[in-house]
Amino acid sequence: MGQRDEKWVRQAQKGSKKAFDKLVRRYAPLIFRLLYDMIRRYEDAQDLTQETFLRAYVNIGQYRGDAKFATWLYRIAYNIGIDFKRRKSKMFNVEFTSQEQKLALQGLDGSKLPGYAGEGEAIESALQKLTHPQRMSVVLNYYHGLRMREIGDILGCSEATVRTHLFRALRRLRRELKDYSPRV
Amino acid sequence: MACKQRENVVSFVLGELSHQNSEPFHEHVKSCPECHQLLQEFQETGKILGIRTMPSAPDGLVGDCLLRIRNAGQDRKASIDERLFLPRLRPGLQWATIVMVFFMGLGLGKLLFQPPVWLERYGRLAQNQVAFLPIDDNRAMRSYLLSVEMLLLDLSNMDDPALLDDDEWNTEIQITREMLKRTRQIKNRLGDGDLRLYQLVAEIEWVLEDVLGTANIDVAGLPPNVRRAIDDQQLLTKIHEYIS
Repeated sequence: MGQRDEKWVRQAQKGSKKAFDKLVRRYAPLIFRLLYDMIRRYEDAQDLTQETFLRAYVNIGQYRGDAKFATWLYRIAYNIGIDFKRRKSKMFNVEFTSQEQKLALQGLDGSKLPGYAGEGEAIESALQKLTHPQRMSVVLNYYHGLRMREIGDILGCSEATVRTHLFRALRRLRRELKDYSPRV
Repeated sequence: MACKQRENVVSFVLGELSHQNSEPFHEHVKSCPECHQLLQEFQETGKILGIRTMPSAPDGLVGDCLLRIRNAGQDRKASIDERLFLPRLRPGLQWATIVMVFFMGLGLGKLLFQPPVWLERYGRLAQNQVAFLPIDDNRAMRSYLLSVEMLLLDLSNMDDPALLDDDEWNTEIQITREMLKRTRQIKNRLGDGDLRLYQLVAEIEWVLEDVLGTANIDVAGLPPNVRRAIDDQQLLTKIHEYIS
């Protein structure tokens, strides 16, 4: 996956729009989910995803390959999300609208999952109780499969700090979700 | 007291503990109730987190991203087109057109404005010297007289025919012709104005005609004859007096 990314990036840097299109197709859903987790607004996450790829397209020449392309792209998305939150600080931690909640929990149906019941809403609620770096560490690790070093690159902190964030986040989540222990 | 290795539980659960450290830590967990408890909790929490389904990306997300990138690219291209008043050409052709127009402009400018040789050679120097003269008179006239003075000095200083080459002499003759042309223009413009100046310009005209006539008649004896033509009229002295 990484090698194919690098190949497409090199082609995109030489001006191949097709290669960049392939990168967009691969990463757009992931970037959208990351931004959604950051700002909790469906339509804004959509706009910011577009903004992320536009910025990546304009700056693709500056990508030197020091980190994985995915990490570089996530960092752009993360910075855009942070800027958005700063600009619209009132929107931070905004309550879900019923439509957004419905969309956010699309596909989550606790009753269909053996051993668990109603975890969807509880997980969302528990995640919202974490601090921002803790939540982002969990999201990037559990839902984007990034390693602690890569998360540190994105959040702008060390690997040890990310480990601490994860440690505290998991303990907090455990407390919040103690009622949802597997029954099996 | 908290176990010093408890933060390693996270690395262990997330599979980020190196193989070398993994085995010893696994052994440690068996004997450490705190780490054992944490490991169990984190594994269960991980399982619960694993069932969270992420929100689906909107259907047209990829298309929207691609469209926005293309629109941004077109906007940027359009703004360049507007700035340059260029039709929509390929970028390579656009630059080729810009370079071509630039060089055509240079060529045309050179064709339209060919400064006379005398101006190129003497004009700048004359203008510089004018700066040291009192500006109570016509600057253009002073500049002209200084140019004439320098030309005549150059001509009269060509004492040794052996030191002259054909190109150098031909250039001097060409300059003299141009200066004669300009002198006639100035004389015609002076009309009923300053009589003293008119006489001076008429003498310059006469001397320049003589220089050119001499040049046409006797190529071998050019420098002495030219000098004589200038000296006979004491023109340099008269010009110098007028300027002073």
